[in-house]
Amino acid sequence: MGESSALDLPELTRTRRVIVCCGGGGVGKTTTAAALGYLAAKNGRKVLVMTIDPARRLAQALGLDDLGHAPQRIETEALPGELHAMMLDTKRTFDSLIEQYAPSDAARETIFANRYYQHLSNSLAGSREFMAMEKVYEMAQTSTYDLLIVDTPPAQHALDFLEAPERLFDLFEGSFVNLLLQPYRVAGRIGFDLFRRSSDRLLKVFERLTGYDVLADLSDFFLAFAGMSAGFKERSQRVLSMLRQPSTSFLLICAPEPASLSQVDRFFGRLTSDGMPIGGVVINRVHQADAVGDETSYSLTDGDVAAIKAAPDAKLGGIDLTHRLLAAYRDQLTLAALDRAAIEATDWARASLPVQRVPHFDRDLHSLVDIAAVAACLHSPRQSSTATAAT
Amino acid sequence: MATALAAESARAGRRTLLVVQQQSDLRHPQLGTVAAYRPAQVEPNFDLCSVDGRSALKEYVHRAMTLPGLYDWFLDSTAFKHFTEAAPGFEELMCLGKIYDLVSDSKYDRVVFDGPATGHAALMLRVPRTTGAAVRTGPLHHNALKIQLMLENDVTTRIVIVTLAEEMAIREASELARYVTGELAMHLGPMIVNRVSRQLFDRAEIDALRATSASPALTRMVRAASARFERASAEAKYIAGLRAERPWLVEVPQIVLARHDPALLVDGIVANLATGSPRHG
Repeated sequence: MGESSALDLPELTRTRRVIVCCGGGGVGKTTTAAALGYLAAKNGRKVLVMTIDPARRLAQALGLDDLGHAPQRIETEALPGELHAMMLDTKRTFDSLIEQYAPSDAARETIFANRYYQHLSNSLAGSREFMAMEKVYEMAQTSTYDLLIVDTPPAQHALDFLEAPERLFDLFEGSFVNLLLQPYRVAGRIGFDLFRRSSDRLLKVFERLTGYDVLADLSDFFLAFAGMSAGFKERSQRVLSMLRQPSTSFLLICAPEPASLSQVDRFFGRLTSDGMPIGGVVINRVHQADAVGDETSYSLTDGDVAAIKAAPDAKLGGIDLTHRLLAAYRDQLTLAALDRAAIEATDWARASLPVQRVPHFDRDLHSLVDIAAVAACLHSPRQSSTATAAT
Repeated sequence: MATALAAESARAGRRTLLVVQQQSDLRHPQLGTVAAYRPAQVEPNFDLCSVDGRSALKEYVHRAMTLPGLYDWFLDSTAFKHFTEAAPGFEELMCLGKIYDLVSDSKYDRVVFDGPATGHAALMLRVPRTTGAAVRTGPLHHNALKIQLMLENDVTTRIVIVTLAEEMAIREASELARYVTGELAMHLGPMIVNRVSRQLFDRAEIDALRATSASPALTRMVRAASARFERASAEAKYIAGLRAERPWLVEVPQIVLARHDPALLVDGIVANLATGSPRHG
């Protein structure tokens, strides 16, 4: 049997420079990021929580109407440190990168004027993930904040987050793009070789499938980026290097459901093989049981029975109060047992990764007070896991 | 939920196809089988397939070109894989294009597409329109337009938004619904609220139980009852707000099984869908 150790989140938020919250959609990632920020600020640190979630979940979690590209301080008297939050604007970050790396004014203007860039830079696969990391790197280079907490984008596949920079460079530097650019690069030359003839045929296929304009526009798009790829690549390598530092921690956020837990299994494997520092796992919405669900937990005394009989009985659904009480309790025990079994079956539980369980709240969390309540759970070793599993 | 909708359709006698987007080596979490690109039967009247952009493009090339096998080496190449993984909107457009073909195929009465989560769904549904704007002529423009018309067609297509009965989730579902019907000019099916906590108590009962001095066993039960009451009350409030905006709404209660059994869970949801709210309007 292996036993997961408690995840010391107060220590993590005291000692790290960057904490990256990863996980699938709808598992409470944003709430966790906000609560970690609150915890860090409570411990006196100046912290910035960054999100790129366009659904404004971070703003809602912090009780704000809106959140912009510029960091905004969350005003609260209860914190010795400072809590700031921002919502990354992917397009603006992309624009500023181009401003920085464009080899000339003309090249910069060509990119900004390109129709593909205008329509699609915001939705270029992986661009949100890449820009989030780019912004983290930029902020980490300054001493404005002690700690940066990143609420990663809701990804269809959680691994997108790490693969995004690589994919972008593969795209800009890949042989398919070179193929697209070839007509421009060889323009005016005489005597095309075999490759050229072969690529011509492929380009004709592509043109037939998409149309001539697409090919021309795509070529323009990639040609404009060609002069900047070295700068982008160097920047990306620095970002990845920063993420591998011991001052960074990845937190895997999930819900106690098989699909969410197996997603974290895959993410755990990938982060481990990439040498990324994993801080631990935060499992949100864990159903708690006050006692082990054996027969004794249902044993009512004569006094209990009398007390129930003395209570008003609305006979909802035609069922008397005693049976409804038992049903509610049985549901709670069952859900708690299911959560426990699902968690114990994961690879990371077997790997004894530090775990923090956050209980299922019987209300929704949408204010700073609620965030403080979650932060209290993150602070409390009582909630920490002692998940055991067969090895 | 998509699996349950497809199962309900199939069990009502319609030839139904469930389309998912998932890694080819993973088993479908509810059906337990690996979904392949080519549809395969999982139940009578019920087929399952998985779509991905590159397979859809390959199929398209095979249809469009003479001697299509000549280009397989290129379509299978790492270089082209990198391009398709990063090209804006490629995956979404190709998947929607494949769904267009499946919908056009008379083999199925109903195609249920298990779409992405709320934020990505808006992006995906917008891709044909974005592509049509970025590419103004040619086959790509033409295909994007065909897909857009299918998505906007009230007779062929309904967007079914599924949410949990949580304040933030309901707000996002509501925003998506407005976006789908407004900016995208598409048509909604029922809004489905999943895992709704059934209210088992009323306020007077809970107040009376909280006031009792009881044994540890009853104290635990009252605590569980109280949590259940608060959760169900909050959910009822959120759902009432959503229903005022979207009257065609189906509530599916949380189904608590003694062990994790996806097939049984689907059966339970199907039973609840069948008895859910009637169609509005």
